[in-house]
Amino acid sequence: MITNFLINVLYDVAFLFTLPARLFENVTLPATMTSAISSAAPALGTINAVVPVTTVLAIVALFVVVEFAILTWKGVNWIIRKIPGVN
Amino acid sequence: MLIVAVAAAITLPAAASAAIFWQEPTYDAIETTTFPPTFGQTFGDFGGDDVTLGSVAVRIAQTEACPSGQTAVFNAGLDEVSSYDDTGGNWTSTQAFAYDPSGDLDPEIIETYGFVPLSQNYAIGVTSYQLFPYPSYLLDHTKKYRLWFDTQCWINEEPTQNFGADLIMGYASDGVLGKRQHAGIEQWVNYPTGTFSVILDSAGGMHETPIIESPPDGAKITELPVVFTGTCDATLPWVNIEIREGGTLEMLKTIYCTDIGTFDTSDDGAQLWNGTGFSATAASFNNEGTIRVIGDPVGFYVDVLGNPNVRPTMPPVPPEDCANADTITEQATCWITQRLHEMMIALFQPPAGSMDRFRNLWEAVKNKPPVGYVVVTANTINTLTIGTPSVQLQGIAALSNFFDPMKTLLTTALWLFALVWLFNRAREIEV
Repeated sequence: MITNFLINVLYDVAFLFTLPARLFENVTLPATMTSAISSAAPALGTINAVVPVTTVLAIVALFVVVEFAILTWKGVNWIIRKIPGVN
Repeated sequence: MLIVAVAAAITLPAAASAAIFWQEPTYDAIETTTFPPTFGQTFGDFGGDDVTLGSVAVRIAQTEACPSGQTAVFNAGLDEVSSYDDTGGNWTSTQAFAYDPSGDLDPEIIETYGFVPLSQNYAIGVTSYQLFPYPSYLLDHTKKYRLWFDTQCWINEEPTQNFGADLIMGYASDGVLGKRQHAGIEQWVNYPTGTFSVILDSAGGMHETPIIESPPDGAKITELPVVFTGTCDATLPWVNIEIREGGTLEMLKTIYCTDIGTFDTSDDGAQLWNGTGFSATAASFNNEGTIRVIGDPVGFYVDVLGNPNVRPTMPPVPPEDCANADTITEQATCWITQRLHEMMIALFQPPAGSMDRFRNLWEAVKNKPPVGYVVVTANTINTLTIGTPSVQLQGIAALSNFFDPMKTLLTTALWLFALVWLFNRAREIEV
């Protein structure tokens, strides 16, 4: 009962919070962007003969994930500090 | 030729939004044992009452022709199972009765093999319904029974081989048709207890099964196509594929390799619920009883959004009978414990599937802005691969002895720099 109530509250909050977004149409990337990514494959193949492309991409992904996690952490802290009485 | 490889994969209907992953299968012949002559599950347990067997609704379509001059015969029967070992598949039974629905057997053969010819000649080879009007037959609720089917080609009063056929049986309990493909070998049609297709009339007497229309193929959203492919073995032409969860058989598929080539089960499906504990095994065998298990079980999980297949729930454990307590104090303690137990369950146990709504919400939102921009971009970038070079840099191939060690060195240096950066970045984080 208690767990179910908490789950329902969380769901209702998430439902209301996402309501505006669900009114929009689905996102589609511009065709030029998708074609640019697909056409990058042979270019990466050429570069891969000299540079370890897989490693470079993995490190770039690591960089993005870490920075995004830090940004999210700061955002959550910023919201918490807006609560009256919390410094 | 030995079965050299079996690649396993599950595909889903295009409309389903789902992810099913197989662990990478590795197959080698690891075991040889004796294959039981028949296999499957029994049915029984009629709620404590003896009941009378009525009729069975079956639709059959012949998918494999008999050799020229041979007669296609479809047999069915009911056996009373004396003992059955679910794990080993060993059983003994007594035949209650058998039918020759095709009506093509000679009277002498019918007598020899115990078949009871139907007055109605059943034209096999076409897809149609067939009612098997079993005579009134009292089923003992304490015993197990099996309904069996066999599709054989006959010539000179002897069966020569099995032919392939699709069988569709009506599930009398819920009116939904269930499909089991009969791949051309004598086998038991696999039914879980309680969903058998026979009409069990507790009042006794004949009771006809209504003809149930098969749902259109497009409506079979609960059936997940299960695809196995592999190479056949000349000496062991049959291939059995089983999907189990926690030891319980969920799907059994038997394939016959008509020639030395590959087999493919892409036409079959399995009703699987969402779960993480599925495993698939494959084994090849022949009619002489030799079986070879192919490799280790392949583990996989099913994660289908809105999967209508519901995991069977175990019956609740009956509470301890407090009346058996010796003293009043023990009875009171037992009663209070049970009430506390029930209260904790009522307070904190969420209903099954309560978290599914969040997944549905995420599916509805993930392609909408602003989250959709991130998701779609990430999905597109994930498709990025290192393709075939469109331009070959001159001299690279000749200098691979130089560039390959350089790439290894560069890889090591890049990861080293990344770790140093990560360490310094973590030190700068202000909590």
